[in-house]
Amino acid sequence: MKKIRLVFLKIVGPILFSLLAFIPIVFWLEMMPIKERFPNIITSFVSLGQIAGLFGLSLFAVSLILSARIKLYDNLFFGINRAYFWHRIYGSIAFMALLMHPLFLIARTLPISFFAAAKFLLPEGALGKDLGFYALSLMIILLVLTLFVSLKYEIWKSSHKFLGIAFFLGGLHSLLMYSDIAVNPWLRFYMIVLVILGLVAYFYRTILGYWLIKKYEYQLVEKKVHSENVTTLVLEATGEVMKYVAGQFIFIRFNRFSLFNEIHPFSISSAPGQEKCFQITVKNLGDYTSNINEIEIGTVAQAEGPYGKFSFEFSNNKKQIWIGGGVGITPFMAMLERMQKLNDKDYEIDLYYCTKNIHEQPLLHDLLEKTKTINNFNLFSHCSIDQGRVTVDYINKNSNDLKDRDIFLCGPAPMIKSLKRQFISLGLSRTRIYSEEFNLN
Amino acid sequence: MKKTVLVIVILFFIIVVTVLLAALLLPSGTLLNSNQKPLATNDSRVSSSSETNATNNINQPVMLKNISLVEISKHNKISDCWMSMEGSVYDITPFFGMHPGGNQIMEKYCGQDATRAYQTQDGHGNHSAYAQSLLKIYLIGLLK
Repeated sequence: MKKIRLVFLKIVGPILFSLLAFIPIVFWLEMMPIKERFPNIITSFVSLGQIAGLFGLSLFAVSLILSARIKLYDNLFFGINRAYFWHRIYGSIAFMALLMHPLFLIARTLPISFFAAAKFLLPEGALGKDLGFYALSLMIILLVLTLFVSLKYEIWKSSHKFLGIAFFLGGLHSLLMYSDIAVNPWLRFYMIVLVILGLVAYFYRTILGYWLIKKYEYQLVEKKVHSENVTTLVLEATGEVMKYVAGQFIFIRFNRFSLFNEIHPFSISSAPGQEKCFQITVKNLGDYTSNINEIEIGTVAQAEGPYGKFSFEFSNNKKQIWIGGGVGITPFMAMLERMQKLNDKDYEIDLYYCTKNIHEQPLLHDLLEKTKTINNFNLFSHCSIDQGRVTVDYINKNSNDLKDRDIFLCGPAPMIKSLKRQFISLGLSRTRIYSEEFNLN
Repeated sequence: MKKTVLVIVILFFIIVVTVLLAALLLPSGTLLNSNQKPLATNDSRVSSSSETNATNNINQPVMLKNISLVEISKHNKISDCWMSMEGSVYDITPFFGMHPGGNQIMEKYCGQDATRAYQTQDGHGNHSAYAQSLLKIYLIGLLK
């Protein structure tokens, strides 16, 4: 029963949001017999172009709606990071569909001339059609930057924001063209609502969020330097205290800090119950985080959240494996501290701390100290430089009853992907694997 | 997913650049020869002279004849649809299934003068220059 509930929780969001994008296709198919849509090659291409445009715009809207980062998504998608995962999937498919939209429609010009085809692809002074050209051009520039150029988080985030403009132009294009959307009042109404929802979500996240999104004000009261690269920041509430579960993450913005003064996601590395404080542990990854040591005591910060369903407390199975790759150890720091406080002897947990070499494990000593007071808790340190990449075989050798355990993975995406695949091929159900990537882009 | 997106982006640019280059080098060239041009949705339609003209390329000289509204009114269904617009007569039968606004929009003007509907897009605005160039391939005569 619990398994069914978990599967349901993981698919309800994707199914609901996918439906939103498929409904226009149903309207489109209902408008005319399918035979008339696909009677010959050219007409079929034109029809495919129309579907691509309709589906692409709908998915673009859905992707924008998902980017609003509201609390509801945390439940609908079983963790807001999974909502972001779907945001990326929908966005990528929308981009591909919208690229195919003009390509399929060129078929119309084939019987005329190459000149007519070129004219079709370029702006020609007709507002409705030209808006489509500008929307797609802007989208290509921004998404090629996002997907294929490695930008700093701040620049990436600023450039990503302009996608809302591309969406606005694309939405106008779809409504101004004399197309199926203009002809079918239901389809027109639906697309107008979807485009407006997309724009509302966009404005909510980019502009209105400044006033509408609830934030907790905290102040930096202590810095614990673990190594040259890893620092823990202790933050104390100046007003209302944020409630959270060990393993969750927040978005935080430090005032008068960082060039773009942007908000960034960090896992909370302490367990709840420390009066007005919580901690984040930050590793210098060469981007925004490289300035973290310069931040001064007393700096005020706004925390938004908490988000995520990544916590041992969301699982009923008390036999667990935790695997933290690099700075992905941070949610486990909070969970370990929580375990100490819970003092529940039924738990059997093995924690794997995986990095390239031992110098990248400055938190190992702290973790060891904490595990001493907990029954049935084992800590393994794994260095890929000596032992090769961490594998399920390696874990199977060290941990008993692997098949009866729930797995918690946090770390770089390739590590999670590889381990997930290995666990599944060992026969573990997907519903027993909880993961959190350190990538919300 | 990223790789698939990359493939589509590359494909997009290859096609766009090819089309633009083709337009520069062979502006009047076409990809399909006249026999493969838009096909009628109903192959059984019989309209001897008009069919020959409708499949003519705009770049080739076309023998246009004068056609009366009475004659146009005989071609009043999807499988055989003539209409006059701005003094010219078109056999738009092969265009059914390709109009972005759907077949219904055009169907109601089969056998009639559709000048007003064409100019105003039934009250929605103007047809683009592209649409006008597209129309030329369906020209069969002038309104008598």
